[in-house]
Amino acid sequence: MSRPGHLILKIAVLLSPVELRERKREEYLADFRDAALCGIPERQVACGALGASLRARTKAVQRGLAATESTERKKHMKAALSSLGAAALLAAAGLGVSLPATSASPSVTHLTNDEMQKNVGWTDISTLNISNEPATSMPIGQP
Amino acid sequence: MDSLPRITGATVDVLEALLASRDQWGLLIIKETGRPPGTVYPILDRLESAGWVTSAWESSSERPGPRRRFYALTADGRAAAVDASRKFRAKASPSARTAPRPVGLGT
Repeated sequence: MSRPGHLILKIAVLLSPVELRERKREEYLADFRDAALCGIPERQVACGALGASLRARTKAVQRGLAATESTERKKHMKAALSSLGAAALLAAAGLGVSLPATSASPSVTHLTNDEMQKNVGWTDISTLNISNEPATSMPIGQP
Repeated sequence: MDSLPRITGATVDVLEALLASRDQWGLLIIKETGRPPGTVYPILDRLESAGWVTSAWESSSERPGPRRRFYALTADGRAAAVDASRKFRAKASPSARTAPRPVGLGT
């Protein structure tokens, strides 16, 4: 057995996926031993084994990465949904909106600056006041 | 059994070598097909993981040292191999191709 060929074969075996390593070791060693009988250079067999192991290893890594990506995506989705839920709860608590219960849908009312300061104490007239009560001033669509 | 995403000439050569004999081992397939080991080994791996072939250690204990790994087509794999080989050869044969139109004749 030639020394460089043997070394290449060892590397090929080490690069094989763990679950196939023992099998590949014996298979490649048998092919390496009988290469001369079939008129195939030993080194060609060793390099072929190395190429096959590299491909198998690359595929295994790709499969691993795909699985990791899928897990990460699920985690991100979970986190995003949790954040949305928390934000909805905080918004509901902060604005005093009772979310489910009645069938009456909340109406959107534009307030003037004076009304805003009187009722809420805010000064930004672009702020919307969301409540379950019917609109009293400046409903949407009317000047 | 899974279908193969692509069947190359080398894959067809390996399939035909497997169709020719029940028990083939890697080195013999390399010799019969004339394809390099770096091509044949991955094809055998791919065929096995797709369920086209099965492999087993040689049962003979006459030879000392590491055992040879024999490959054989499964029943489904055999049918698929015949089909794949036929299709590939039909596509590759010149008679199956459309004859080129003579240049400068007609419109």
